[in-house]
Amino acid sequence: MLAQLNTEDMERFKRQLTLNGYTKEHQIKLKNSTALIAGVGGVGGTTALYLAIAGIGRLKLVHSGALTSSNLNRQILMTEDWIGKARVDCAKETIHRIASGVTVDIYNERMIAENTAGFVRDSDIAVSARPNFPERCALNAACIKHNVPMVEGAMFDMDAYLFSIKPGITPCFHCLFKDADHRWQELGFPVLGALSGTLGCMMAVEAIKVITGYGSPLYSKMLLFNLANMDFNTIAINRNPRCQVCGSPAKREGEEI
Amino acid sequence: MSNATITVKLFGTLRRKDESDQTLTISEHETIQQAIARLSIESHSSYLYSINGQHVKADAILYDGDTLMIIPPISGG
Repeated sequence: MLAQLNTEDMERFKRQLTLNGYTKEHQIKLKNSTALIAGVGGVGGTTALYLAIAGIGRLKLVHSGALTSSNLNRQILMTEDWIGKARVDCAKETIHRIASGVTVDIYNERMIAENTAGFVRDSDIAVSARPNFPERCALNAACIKHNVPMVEGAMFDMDAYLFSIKPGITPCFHCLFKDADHRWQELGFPVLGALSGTLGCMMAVEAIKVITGYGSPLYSKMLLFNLANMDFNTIAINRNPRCQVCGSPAKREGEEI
Repeated sequence: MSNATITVKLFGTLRRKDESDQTLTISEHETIQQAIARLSIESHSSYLYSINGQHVKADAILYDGDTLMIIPPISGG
């Protein structure tokens, strides 16, 4: 049985309940949903914060490692006196200061094939924001296997892209990108906090749309933007029927590029 | 064979400093793979391509006036 909106909810969310087409039913779905946030860096940390203040019921934050000084140009959930502290602990504490009603479960781990299914299974949506290709692939595969929708977003320098995945219906991450770029440096990519935050906000909007049914998610579409030039483009994207992750078993052999 | 002029948008790790869109002159009916050879960028099996906003494969043919986007996988989060 779904938890209903109480008096405090109605007051707290009254301004978003007047959005064109957004109703109490949308807000109730949000309140009763769990979002898995893979990565609480400049992108995923922003997504987590905006889902929390929008009224999501539960967040599962997965990110390994401790806060460093060089994270602070993009971390909105963490303060300089927390350097050396586990990032998921910092994120949970800040989210609870801002939105105490949100349940926050934390995991100081990397996402690998062996543990990712466990994170995905009881989630209503996954947000993909880890800074490396293998963890993004592991999350995509688990979401496809367990039929959990996913918002994929990534950035480099002043460029970013995002799209949403409805398993078995729209292109998955592996349909589009089979292999990592061997030049990618997990700890070396250039990042401006205002750009990672912009992408994180957009991913929060996508997650809210996918969870609630409000608006039109980026299904079978990819939004690409460059904030140096303020150049925004949307392209149509296709499933690969021979995709080894989401294609039908009969067609998986001889995967096309 | 006559020439065709296309607009190329390089994305992410392929983008060069201070450079947005570029114009490229190719032979008419060249494929994306052939056009990439003119761009001095490293070819990669995992690039995503679009012509005029439509996802296409590397053997898609380019026509005069087309806009080609070349999108490598990126993972910043």
